[in-house]
Amino acid sequence: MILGVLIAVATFVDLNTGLCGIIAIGTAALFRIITKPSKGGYHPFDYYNPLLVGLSIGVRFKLSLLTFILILASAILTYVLTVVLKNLLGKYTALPVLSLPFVIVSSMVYLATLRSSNLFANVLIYHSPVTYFDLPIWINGYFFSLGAIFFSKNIIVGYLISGALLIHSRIMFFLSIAGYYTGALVTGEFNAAHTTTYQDMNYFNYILIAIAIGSIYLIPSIKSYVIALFAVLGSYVVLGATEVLFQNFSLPVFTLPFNITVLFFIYYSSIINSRLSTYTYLKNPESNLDYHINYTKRFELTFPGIALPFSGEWTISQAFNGLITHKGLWRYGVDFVIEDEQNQQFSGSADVLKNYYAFSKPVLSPIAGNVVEVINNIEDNAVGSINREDNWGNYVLIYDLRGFYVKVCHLEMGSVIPATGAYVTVGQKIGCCGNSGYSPTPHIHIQLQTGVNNNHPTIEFQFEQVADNNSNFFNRITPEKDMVLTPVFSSKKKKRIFELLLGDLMEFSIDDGNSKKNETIEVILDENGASCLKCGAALLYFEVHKNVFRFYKYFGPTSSILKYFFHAIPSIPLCDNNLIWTDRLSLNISLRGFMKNFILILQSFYWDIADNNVNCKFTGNYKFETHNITRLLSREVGSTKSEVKIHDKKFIEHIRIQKNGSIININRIKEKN
Amino acid sequence: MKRTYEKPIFLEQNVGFANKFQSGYYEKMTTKIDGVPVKDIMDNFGSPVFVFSEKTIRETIRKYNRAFKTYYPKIVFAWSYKTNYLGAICSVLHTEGSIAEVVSEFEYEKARNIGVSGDRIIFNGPYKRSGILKQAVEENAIINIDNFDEIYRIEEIALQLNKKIDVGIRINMNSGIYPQWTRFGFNYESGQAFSAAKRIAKSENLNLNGIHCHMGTYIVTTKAYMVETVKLVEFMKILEHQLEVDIEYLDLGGGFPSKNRLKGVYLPPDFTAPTIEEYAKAIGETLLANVSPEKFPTVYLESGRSIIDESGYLLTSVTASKRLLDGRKTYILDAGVNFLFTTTWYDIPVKVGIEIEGPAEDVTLYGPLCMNIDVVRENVKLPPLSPGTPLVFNPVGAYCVTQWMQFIEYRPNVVMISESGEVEIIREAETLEDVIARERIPERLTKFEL
Repeated sequence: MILGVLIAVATFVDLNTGLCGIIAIGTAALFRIITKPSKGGYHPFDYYNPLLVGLSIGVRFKLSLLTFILILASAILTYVLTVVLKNLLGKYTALPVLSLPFVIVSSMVYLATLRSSNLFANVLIYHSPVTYFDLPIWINGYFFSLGAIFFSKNIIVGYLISGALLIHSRIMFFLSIAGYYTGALVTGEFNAAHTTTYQDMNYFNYILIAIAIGSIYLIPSIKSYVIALFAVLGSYVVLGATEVLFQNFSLPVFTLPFNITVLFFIYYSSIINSRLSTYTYLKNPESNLDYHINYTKRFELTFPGIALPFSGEWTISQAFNGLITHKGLWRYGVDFVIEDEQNQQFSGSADVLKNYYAFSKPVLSPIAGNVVEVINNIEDNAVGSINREDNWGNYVLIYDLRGFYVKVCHLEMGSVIPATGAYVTVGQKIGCCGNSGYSPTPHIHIQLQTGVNNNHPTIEFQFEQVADNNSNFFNRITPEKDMVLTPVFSSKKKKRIFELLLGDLMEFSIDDGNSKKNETIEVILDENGASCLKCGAALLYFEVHKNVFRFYKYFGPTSSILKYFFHAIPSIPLCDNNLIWTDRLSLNISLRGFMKNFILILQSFYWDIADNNVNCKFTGNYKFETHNITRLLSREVGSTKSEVKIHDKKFIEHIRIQKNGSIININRIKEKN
Repeated sequence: MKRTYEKPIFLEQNVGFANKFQSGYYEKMTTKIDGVPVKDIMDNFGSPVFVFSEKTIRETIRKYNRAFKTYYPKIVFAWSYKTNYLGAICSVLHTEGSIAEVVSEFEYEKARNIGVSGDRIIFNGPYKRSGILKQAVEENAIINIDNFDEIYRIEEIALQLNKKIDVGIRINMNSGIYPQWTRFGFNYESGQAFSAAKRIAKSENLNLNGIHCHMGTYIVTTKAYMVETVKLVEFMKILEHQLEVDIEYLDLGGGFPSKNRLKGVYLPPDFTAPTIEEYAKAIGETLLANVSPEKFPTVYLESGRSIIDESGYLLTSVTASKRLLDGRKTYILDAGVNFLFTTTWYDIPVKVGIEIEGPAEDVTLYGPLCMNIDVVRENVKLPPLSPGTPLVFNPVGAYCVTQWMQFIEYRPNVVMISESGEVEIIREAETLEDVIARERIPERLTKFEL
């Protein structure tokens, strides 16, 4: 918002330029209305290129009838070119147009008007640089370059743009300085022109490149900053070359170096599938960074996740790289047994197979998929003996559509239920735990592999949505020896309570100690079909993933009842056990203002410098507490405690939040029957 | 130690070790419970005294949880309060994750008093007093309706509170056992249960979300539970399909046997009763085979007797011996049917509480009450016992401490041995104050001269 206002003011510092810009936008808009496109999304950024073309005309020619016609023609041309290029680039390369149309059209306009002696005679303007304050040239150079983006030689425009950048994003501001001075110093060194280098206005290309690559198209981080500066260095070549070339035609380079460099770098990133690439752009790089850090830490999805292949609490007797048999190609296997409180796997005599708790217990499918192979006729060994020939024993091999196979082994003879080709769902019984194959005592062996044969290597994996024997719930966990794990199954009632349907309306009263008011929350789908809660201008995205209800994205004002919901409830496991779980929030939910921005810019250099975890636990079947602690370098900078009560029919009944000494109470208002 | 003089007796005996009626040398003694000598407990807490072993309770419930949960994931044990509602015992079970199952106002209030929240209480029973029923509704208890009149009463309450409440219904069915308990709940096979469900589904203030069935007590066949489970699942599917209700839980009730000896059964329970693993397998496998994972209902089990019986002991002393006219040896104990009501159905195993030697003979054990029915054991083989000899009755954990009478004798101390071996009182012995606390003698009757 502020950015927009400041930029608008900046363009009008020179009235003529500003007016031409407005006329250009107006023309483009009118053209759009007249041609009435029925397909093709409209985006306000479509007017950016015509605006720049208008400005480029206004800086050179005073407004007159001729200029007016020139603007009309150019604006329409630019608008058409923008839409066309957007379509072509988008279809074949997924690249944005940036300001290519502006570069193309403005270059053509300047070239074309070379022979328009009429224009030159009457309306050509020449601007001379305007400065205030007697600052050294290397500081002024930075502001002039910024101002040059909007064709102004009045340094006040540079001050305004710089201020806008600082307010909008400290990261962008930092990159504008880093980019400018890197480029200026390097170019100056090459050209042996250390003072006059700061008079080259074209260096705004360095600024734009640094900002675009360092914070917009890549997630801000040390890596992105380094890549941005390398790009700036690379663009020295591009800038130099274009300057020399264009000089021949008396053309300025406009933003051509910026467009070329950034477009190539973005395309490169997308080809190599870089993990640093931004996929959703929120309002500024800080928000982007915040969202990205939180998303990757919350949902670490490097390995496939599967369910546990049993019911109840089982102990891991051997995990990945286990010393006994999980080695080499078969290192990513996990063995499960049942132990009692005395850590015995059996009750009574150790020689009798039936005395082992695990023997004959149901084995459940850990994934949904098609059964590709079944062995069901290998005899179970007596306790202590092993079968080396049919070392997998009786097993089931299932294909998962995600592109891998799951093998569950050592099953009881004759106990396998599904036949080859059958489709099984998660949790469906596939057999009983036995003692067949390389198995001296009853246990379940499970592994993921890349193919059907025994020499296909095993793949590392994690278990998804499980609990341990102390009621700790884990969204994802890497199996380790001696862990005691149990699968989590959701409660039908809680799943129903959190089944929020399109059109549902809920009313809440919110009392923050100073004022009390009522808010209505509605469940809607956004333009991409994702479910979210809406209250006024705020949107809170939610989803139910298997057994967990969670919020994952917030858009909207700094203060909203929906933000309180996200803060108090990052996620809820929908089961009836009194579980304890942890989650994480993005900084903008827990902090605001200076502290948040300060931490974010530090975080862009080192992501782990701060964390924002939430510890949650159920205190009853429909009540739970959450405690969010924000830490910077292990020092606590924020703490919020919340008590939540689940409504017995839909969603939430009551939240009590204790934050920075104040208490906020949110209560559900009863629906009238 | 001094031997008491015993008049010689003549017993007809078959030859030596070939005696198929047992050679008769007494070997069954229980001198310690969880490592604590019986004598010490009686010295400190008197005689008679009930003793509970916390260790046994925890081991048993954990064994049950492990057995059932490894067959079916959504199992919840609900402690049957009527089996033993001593606060300490219930608390042990609640700390092991069991919720509460109550059948009356008194039991509901007791559960709440211990600290169990309403939504963790299953409220069953053929008569639920209106006041407590309303409270249970307000506190979101899990209520299983027993009869049509109760449906109307609950509906009335829901209307008053302007709420739509979740309710379950109890059904009875033919699961192949004898006797079939037909007086509780709605009958399944005749269609009565479906009518009740339909009536609830049509109500605007009630939502049917559970089915409860408690077939009987001391059921020694796993087949009955398989049949029960199959029919409950079948009923669940019929209801979901025809009435579009969403059944969230199935309550299979209780009925597993303990190691107590039922009268009239020849073989001891070690030979007749299946293990808990076998019950778990029968129920769990039936569920897995008949319900798909996304629709797994929560399954409640209301076991009482089988969980608590073996953890309870009654220590009593011989007060006198008497030989009846027909030559039968009898002993008079200081605990009788007033504390061991379950002797009506069970021959509770009894062992001597100290080291003792001697041939065993058939004796009858009487209690201290001046009532002809006060027979604790009609026939048991015990060696000669002198007055003061402690006897240990076990298992008495189930029903004895709830069905005991304040009759003729003050009720004794109840103690529990903790996992670390400490003996703590969990219910103090009664005094005269306790007995007369609720009495009101009209003024006009207080003066008399004899």
